[in-house]
Amino acid sequence: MATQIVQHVPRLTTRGQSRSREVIRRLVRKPSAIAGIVLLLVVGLAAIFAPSVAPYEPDAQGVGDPFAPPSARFLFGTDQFGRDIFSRVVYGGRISLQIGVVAVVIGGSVGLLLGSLAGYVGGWADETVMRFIDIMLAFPGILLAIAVVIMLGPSLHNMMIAVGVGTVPTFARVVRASVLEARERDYVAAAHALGVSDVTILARHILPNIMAPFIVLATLDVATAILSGTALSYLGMGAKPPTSEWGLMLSDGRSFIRHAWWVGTFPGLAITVTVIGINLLGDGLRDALDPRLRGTR
Amino acid sequence: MRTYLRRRLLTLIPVVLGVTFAVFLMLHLMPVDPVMMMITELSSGQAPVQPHEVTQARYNAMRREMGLDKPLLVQYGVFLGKVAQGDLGRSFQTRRTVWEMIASNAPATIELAVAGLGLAVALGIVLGVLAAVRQDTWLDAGVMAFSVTGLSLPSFWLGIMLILLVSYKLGWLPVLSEGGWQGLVLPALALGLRAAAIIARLTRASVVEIMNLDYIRTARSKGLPFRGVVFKHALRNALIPVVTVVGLQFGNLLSGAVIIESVFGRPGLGSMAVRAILFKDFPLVQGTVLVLSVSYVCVNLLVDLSYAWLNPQIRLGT
Repeated sequence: MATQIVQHVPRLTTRGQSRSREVIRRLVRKPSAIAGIVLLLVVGLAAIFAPSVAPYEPDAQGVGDPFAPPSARFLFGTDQFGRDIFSRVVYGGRISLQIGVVAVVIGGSVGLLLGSLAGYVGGWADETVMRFIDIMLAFPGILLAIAVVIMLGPSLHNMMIAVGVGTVPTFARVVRASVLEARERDYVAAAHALGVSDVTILARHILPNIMAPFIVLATLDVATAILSGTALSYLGMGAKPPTSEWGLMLSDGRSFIRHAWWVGTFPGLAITVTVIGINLLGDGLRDALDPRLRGTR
Repeated sequence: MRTYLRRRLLTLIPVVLGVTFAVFLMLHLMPVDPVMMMITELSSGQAPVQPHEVTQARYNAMRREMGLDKPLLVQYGVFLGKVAQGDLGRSFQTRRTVWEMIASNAPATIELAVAGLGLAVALGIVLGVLAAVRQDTWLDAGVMAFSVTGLSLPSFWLGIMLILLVSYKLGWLPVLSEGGWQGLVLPALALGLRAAAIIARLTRASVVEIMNLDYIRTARSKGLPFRGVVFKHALRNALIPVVTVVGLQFGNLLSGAVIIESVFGRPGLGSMAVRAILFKDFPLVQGTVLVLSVSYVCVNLLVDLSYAWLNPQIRLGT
């Protein structure tokens, strides 16, 4: 019987490949998802090739007069130190995308671990994990991230951890629910009957099957993490000057909004465009991967 | 319903205990020495004490006075006892009691959160219903575009842009909260737009689902006017899941106020907490975090109860 299962593996892989091809086909048929991918590509490529895209060093002061309005020379104008805002926005993309991805990797891994433990082991493990998650959820919105930043001390790295911790509860809940559902399936019972160990069942049979909601959530959470990260920096609990971080730049922009609207406008526009891109892609992925998840957010 | 209520109240106890424990631990996990902080901060107003001037004896005395020499669980018990009596300590900065400061700042935050929620509910439900009854038209697409944008706009940037456009360029509304309701419009809009986007999405999905059900088809085939069917038959059921989300959003609005108050320079719990964090006024930070999260838990309880009350399956215990 074990051989039969092993023989099934290549066929499963082929099915897996055709499934991902099907998902991509469904994704590119949605104009909004394409728009999301294009927006993300623009932001992502600009961030990766920042040294070539940005005309000036992001931290170089006095490349122009202070508060020079947008012009051909300074597309987004300059700030109070005569730094080129366009160059700073381009470099800022590196930091914000990094915040989003690192935070989701942290939150996703911890959430995956806790959610699988609760969903698969059940009983006392489920009770303990879920009460722990309930306590985390009692800190609304950005408050959990703020609490973690206070404990760790304000810095860019700690802010990423804090934002990551803030995403743990949703990941854990979604993974737990999916594992609970998958645990009851016949293929899990079959693997049990064959004497396959719990860790193997979880890692090789259950987790690959719950990836759809996980990927959707992870994508959408990158957007939330970027918003939380920039908000923390705006409040002075994340990146420190002179880092070209979007939230920090916005905080400067707030002070000069009356006389130099461009200082705060462009970093915010960059955040919005990036987050819209991720949300559109996330929505598209949700529809393509698992239509049942529609309307869950 | 009574069984449900009892069960729901019982699950509240570990959560509230957990929250108080987490907030209690904050003081111990912070990257500063609270004893040293207390000695140096206490001297404010008198001759300033530098950390190197603090003798070991004085340090130990303060440590004992603060109860930090006792085992952790005993300290937690003492903390819990004080919290139960409404004693949240004194602010390092102002020397006023934390409770007093929270009580004087809370009304402004509640006012902002309620205004934001009111705006979000009105905007979200109207747009959601419009999108649902005009499904797959440009109006639907427009509402969905609004929803994605609303979810993607950083509230603090939206706030800054509203100040720039509506206050400075157009001169329609004041920037600061002085001046009654006019000062509340922009912060409430900046705070509530995200919630409006979420409510609009959910309302649309919910109404679309209900409109496809048999009883709606029956009502329409009886020749009842479309508007009546939507408002009298569909909306009543479609809004049940919306109630839950509205309640959950209230908590998010409370914490979102932390940022919006700073953007608009409004007084309130949020701007007070941010100042407290930046000045390392830990008793005040602890107290604010505790009050905000416990109120969030209580709001969630009320939401659950109202949901149970609205849903006959839970209400009648079937």
